[in-house]
Amino acid sequence: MAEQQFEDMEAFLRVAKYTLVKFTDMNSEMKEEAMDICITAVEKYPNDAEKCTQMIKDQMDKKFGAPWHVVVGKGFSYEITYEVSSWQAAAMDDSMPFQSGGIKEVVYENTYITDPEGYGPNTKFERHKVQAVLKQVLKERIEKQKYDPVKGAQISKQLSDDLREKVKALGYDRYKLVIQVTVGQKQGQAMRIISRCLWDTQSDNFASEYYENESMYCVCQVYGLYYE
Amino acid sequence: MEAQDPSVEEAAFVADDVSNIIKESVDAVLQNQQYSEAKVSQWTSSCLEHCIKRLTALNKPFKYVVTCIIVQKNGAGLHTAASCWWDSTTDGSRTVRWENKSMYCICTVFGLAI
Repeated sequence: MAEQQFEDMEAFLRVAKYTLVKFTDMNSEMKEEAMDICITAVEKYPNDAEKCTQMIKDQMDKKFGAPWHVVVGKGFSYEITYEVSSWQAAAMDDSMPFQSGGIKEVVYENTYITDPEGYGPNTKFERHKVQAVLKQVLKERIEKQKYDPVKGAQISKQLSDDLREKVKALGYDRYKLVIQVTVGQKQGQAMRIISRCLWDTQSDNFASEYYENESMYCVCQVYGLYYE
Repeated sequence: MEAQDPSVEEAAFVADDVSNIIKESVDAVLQNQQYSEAKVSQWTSSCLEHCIKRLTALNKPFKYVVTCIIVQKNGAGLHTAASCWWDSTTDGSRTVRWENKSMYCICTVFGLAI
């Protein structure tokens, strides 16, 4: 009886030698392609899991964009977080069970919040707070400096990076920031800085500060634009 | 696979169109002018108005910030730097430097996707 069963099993396997897909939420095109790739890989490297996984991953990355995670083996357990419509677990009888899942970019769910206040108090770009921060940083940096053409370039770059970090630290998560710093030598020339913006007046704002000492002056503007 | 909206494909910041717009706006207002304290504010405003009008005519889903710096030519040194916290795949900026015999004009446009 056992032998008969065994024969049947073999025969069954030979006939129905295709992958058993345990779970997938890919669309059918992706699924078919993924299955083809996996079958080819497993048949090519029946005993070498490493080469097999490498091949599957390369092909999936090329076809559907990085990154993909591929697991091939004879016995394992897993816990994976994945982006919807890109997961497939399949078993190929008799050789190697495998599964491949794709963790692509994070998909954001709709929060249904349309303005910054919806995220809680203190999330709207507050001009006076930003201005206070700007004033303090400018004062610290520029107070003792003398204008120097080489240093000037460095100072302006460093200042803009520092200011960006400080404004970010104020915690305006939903805001994109643009910070512009202008450093100039005082030589009796006249200059004017003007800006115009096309944005949503209710949620976007800007702050600007000006600092001068005997040999140089510095103007900086910070624009905060709300991003949904 | 869903079809992509044509508007989504065009959403990246196209720097070349923008720099043309800026150059033309600045030229139109400042060409052949001498630096004059009284007129400067008028010039900068009209420069920026031009820029913004033409940027909106592009009809892209972007918020814009346009800055214009006009400095008198005096041998003084000037440095400008900008640092931004945005999404580099969709947002961008463009700076155009323009000069004549009496002044420099530096105009920057930042475009941020909505």
